[in-house]
Amino acid sequence: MTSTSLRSNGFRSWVPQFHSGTAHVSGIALMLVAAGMAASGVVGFIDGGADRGTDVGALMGSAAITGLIGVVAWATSQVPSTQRAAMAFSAVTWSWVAVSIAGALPYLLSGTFDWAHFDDALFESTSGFSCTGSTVIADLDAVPKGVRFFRQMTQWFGGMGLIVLAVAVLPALKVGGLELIAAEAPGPTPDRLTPQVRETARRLWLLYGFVTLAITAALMLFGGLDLYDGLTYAFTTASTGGFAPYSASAAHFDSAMVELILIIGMFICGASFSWHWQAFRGDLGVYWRVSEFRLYAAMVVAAIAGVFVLNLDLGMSASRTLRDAAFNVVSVITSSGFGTSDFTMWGPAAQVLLLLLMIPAGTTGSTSGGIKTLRLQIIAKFAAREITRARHPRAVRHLRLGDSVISDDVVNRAVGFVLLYLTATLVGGALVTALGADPVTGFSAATSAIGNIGPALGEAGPASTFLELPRLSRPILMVLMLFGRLEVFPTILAVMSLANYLRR
Amino acid sequence: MAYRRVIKIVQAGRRESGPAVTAGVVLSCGGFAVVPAALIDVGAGGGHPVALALAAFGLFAVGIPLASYFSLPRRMSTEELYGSLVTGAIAMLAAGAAVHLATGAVDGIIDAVVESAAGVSTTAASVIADPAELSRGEQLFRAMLQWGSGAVSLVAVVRVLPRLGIGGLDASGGVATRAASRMSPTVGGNLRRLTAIYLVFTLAIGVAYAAAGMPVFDAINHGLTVASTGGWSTRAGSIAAFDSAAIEWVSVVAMFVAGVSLPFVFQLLRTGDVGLLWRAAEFRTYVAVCAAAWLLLIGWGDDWSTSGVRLAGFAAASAVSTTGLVGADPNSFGGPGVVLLVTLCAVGGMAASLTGGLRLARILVVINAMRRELKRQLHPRSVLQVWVGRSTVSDEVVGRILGEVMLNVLVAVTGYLALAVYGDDVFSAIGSTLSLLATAGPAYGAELSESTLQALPPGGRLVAAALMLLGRVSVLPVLAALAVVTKSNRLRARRAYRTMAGLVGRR
Repeated sequence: MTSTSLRSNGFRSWVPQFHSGTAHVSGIALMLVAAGMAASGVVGFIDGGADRGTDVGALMGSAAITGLIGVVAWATSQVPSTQRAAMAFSAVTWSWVAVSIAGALPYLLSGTFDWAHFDDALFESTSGFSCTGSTVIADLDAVPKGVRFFRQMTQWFGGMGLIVLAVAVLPALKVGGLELIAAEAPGPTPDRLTPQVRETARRLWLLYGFVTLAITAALMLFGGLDLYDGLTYAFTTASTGGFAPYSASAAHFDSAMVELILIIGMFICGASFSWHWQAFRGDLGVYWRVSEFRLYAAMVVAAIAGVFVLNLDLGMSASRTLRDAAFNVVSVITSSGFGTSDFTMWGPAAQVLLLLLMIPAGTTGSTSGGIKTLRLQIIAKFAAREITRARHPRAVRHLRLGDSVISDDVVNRAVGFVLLYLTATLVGGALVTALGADPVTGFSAATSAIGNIGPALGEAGPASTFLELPRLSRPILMVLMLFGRLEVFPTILAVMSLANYLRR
Repeated sequence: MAYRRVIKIVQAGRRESGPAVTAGVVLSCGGFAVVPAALIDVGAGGGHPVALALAAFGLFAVGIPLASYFSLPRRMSTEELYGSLVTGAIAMLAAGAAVHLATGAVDGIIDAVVESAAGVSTTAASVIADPAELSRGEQLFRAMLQWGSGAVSLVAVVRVLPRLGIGGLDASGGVATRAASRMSPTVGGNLRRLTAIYLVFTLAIGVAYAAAGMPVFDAINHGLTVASTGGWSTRAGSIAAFDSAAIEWVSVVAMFVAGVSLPFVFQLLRTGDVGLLWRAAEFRTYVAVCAAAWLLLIGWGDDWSTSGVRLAGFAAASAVSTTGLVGADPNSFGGPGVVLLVTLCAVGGMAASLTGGLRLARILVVINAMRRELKRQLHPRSVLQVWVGRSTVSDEVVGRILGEVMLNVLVAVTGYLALAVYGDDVFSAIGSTLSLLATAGPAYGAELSESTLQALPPGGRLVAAALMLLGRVSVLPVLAALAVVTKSNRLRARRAYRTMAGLVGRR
C-alpha cells in the first residue's frame, strides 16, 4: 500500500478489508444514524422530564451500538470499482434495511415497545426512515421526549436520503456516487446541480437544512411554538414525513397559523429541490417554466376545490371545511400524512379522491413519495400517443414535455416503474386483506405505505394507528415502504441479487 | 352464402362509408332479432307482440336504407375501422333502447339506454329487478341482444384485436407474437369459422342446460347469454334461483370454456392435437389462474362440502369469464374472496375470447415487460426482447398493449371517482367500477351484489353505462374514434384561438 493510500485511509489501512459496497455504505449510514441518536440523547438530557434517565440511556446506548457496528462495517470494507449499477442498488437497499433495524433500538431500549414486539419497533423505525409516517405507538405522549425527537429525526434523515448525505460528506464514496444517488433519489433521472456529484449532494443537503430552519423559524415566530416543537415539526415537514411528536398530530395546537405554515412547507417540499436551488439563485421563473410544477400546483388547487365541494354537506362552516380540505389534500398529495381531521368520516367520493391523490404524490427531486407527477405526465402522454398510433400505425411520434423530447429509455423506465408500482400495491393490498384486514383498509394501507403517505382509509385512518391491522400484515407494509422510498427497482434488484448469491 | 349476399348488398351503395353501413347492418340485425321475440309473445298469448313488431319495423325502416344507400369501402383505414366499431355499438345501443322503450320494460329513456348498454356490452347488470316479470318475448330479446353483441365481437376479434396487438387470430391463443398463425387466409374465412364455433357452443350450452333439468325456454336464453359471456338470466336470483347442482356444474364448465380463445378452440378441434393445451402459454396460465382461484375461494368460503366446492368454482368461473352469473353471494367468501373475484374480473379470460377485462395475453406481456425493465436497470445497454411462451413480442406490440393497459387504468380511476360520488361506500365503488368495466356485472363488495345498477341514481347509471360500453368495445378504439370526431372541432377551436390572440396582439 502506498503512503498516499495509508494517509487517506487512516487506521483503516491497518485492518483487513474485503470488497463490499453494501457493507461500506451501510457502515457510513449507520454512523450517521448513530450521530443522530447521540444528538437526540443530548436533547433528551436538556429537555427531558421524569424519564430522562431512561431516555438518555436508551439513545446513548443505541448510538454506541449502532456507531460501533457502523465503524466496523465501514473500516473492514471497501467499495469495488466494478459492477456499479448492481452494487449501487444492493448497497442502497441494504443500508436502508440496516438503518431501519438500528433505528428500532431506541424504541426497544426505552421501553416504548417490549422486545417481544421487536417487529413493531422495526415498523416504527422503517416508517420513520422511509418518511411514511404510519405509526403503531398507541400513546405517543407517553414516549420520552428524546426518543420522540429521534423519531422525528429519522424522517429528516430519510427525506433527502442518507446516501446523498454520505456522498456529500465522504469523499471515499466518489466511486459510484452518481449511481448511488440515482438509486436513492426520487424520479426517473437524477438531477445534477453541478458537474460534481459530491457538490450536488452537498448543495441539496445545504438547501434541505436551510428549508428546515426556515420552517422552524416560521413556526416559532408566527405559530408561537417553542424550539423543540418548531424543530420537530420542521423535520417532518421538510421531509414530507408526517410524524408528529404528539398523538393529535398537527391538530395538537389547533392553530390556523400553524396549519398554514405547515401547508406552505409541505407544498414547497413536495416540489423539486433542484428548482428551489435555481430559484434561490434568482431564477424565480423556473417554477412557471417547468410543466411538472404547473401540473403539481394545478392538481393541488383542483383537489382542494373538489374536496371542499364534496365536504360542504358535512355540516361544518365553510371556512373550517376549506381549512380541512386544504390541509389534508396538501398533506396527502405531498405524502406527508399530517392529520387535522379524521377523513375516514368524509363521504366516499372525498375519500376516494384522497386515495387517488396518494398515487402521484409530489414532483421528482422532492422529498415526497408516490409515483411522482412527472411520471404521471409521461404515462398520460404515452397513452395519448397510443391513441394516435391506433389511428396512424406508421406514424413516428416522440413524447415531448414542453420543448424537450423524452427519450424512449426514460419512457420505458417510467412505464416499467408505474407497472411495478401498481403491481406491488395490488399484491401488497391483496396480502394484507388476505391476512384479515377489510378490503378498504388493506388496499388503502398498501397504497399509503408504498406512497410513503402515512394514514390510510378504513381502520387505518388518521385517528387510529396501524395496530388495528393484523400483526402479520405489518412486515408486508414495511417492505412496501422501502419499495416506495427507494422507488421499487433497487429493492427488487437487491433481493434478486441476494437470491442469486445464495443460489451460487 | 348468406355472408356473401350480405357483402354484395353492402357493397352496392352509392357512397362509401364504413360506419354508416355498420350502423345500417346492426339496426337491420336488431330488427331480425325482434321478430322471433314478437312471435313468441304471439304464441304465448301475452306480452307486447304489437310493440315488438312495431319496433322491428322501425329498425328495418332505418337500417335497410342506411345499409343500401352507403357501401362498405374495399379498403378501410384504421380510423374508419374504429369509427365503424363505435358506430356499430351505438346503433346496437339505440336498437336495444328503442325496443325496451316500445315494450315498456323499463321506465324512461335513461333506464332504457342503461339497460341496452348492459345488453350490448354483455354485462350481467340490469335496472330490471325481476326479469321473470317480463314477457317471454322480452326475455328472448334481451338474451338475443347479448348473443348478438357476442357475434359482433367476433368481427372485432378478426378485424380490430390484431390492430390492438392482442392477436385476435393467434391460434395458440397468445398475443400477436411472431409465431402467430391464422385460422384462414381470408377475413371471411376467419369469420365463418368463428361464427360456426360460436353457434355450436351456444347450442351445446342450451342442450346441456336442458339435459340438466332447466326448462327449454330458460335453457335457450341461458345458452345465448352464457355463450356470449353476457350473464343475463330469466330469473331474479340468476342461476341460484334454479337451485340445481347439475345446472350449476353445466354453468361452471360453460363459463370456463367461454373464457378460452375461440381460434384456440378451433385449432384444437381441427387438429385434435392435445399437446396444444400444454404448449399454449396463455392457456396454461388461464387454467392455473382458474384452479388457484377455485382453491382459494374454497378455503375462504370455509365450506368443504360438495356444494361449497361447486359454488367456489362457479364464482371463479363467473368472474374470470366475466359472465356475471350468480350462484352464491360473493360476500360469503369474505373480504379476500371478494377482492379475488374483482381481480379475476379485471384480468378476464384469454385473448380472442368473448370475455371482458384486460385478458391474460396482455397480463403476460405486461409481466414480461416489467421483467425486461428490471433487467435493463442492471444492463442499460443490453438489447432485450419480451417473450411470451416460446415467442418474442415486438416492441411495437408491447407499446400498444402497455398503452391500452394504461388507458384502462386511467378510465378505471375516473370511473371509480365518478361512481364514488353516487355510491355509499369506498369499496363497493371500486368493486362496481372494475366489474362494469370488465363487463362482468355483479357489484362485488356491495350488500346486494346483483343490484349494481338498481342501487345507483340516474347519473350513476349513465356512468355505469359508459363504463360497460368502454369495457366491451375496448378503450383504445373508443378514444381513437372520439379523437377523430373531436379533431375538426379542436382544429376549429385552435384557429379561433389564434385569431383571437392575433386580434389582442394587434391592439
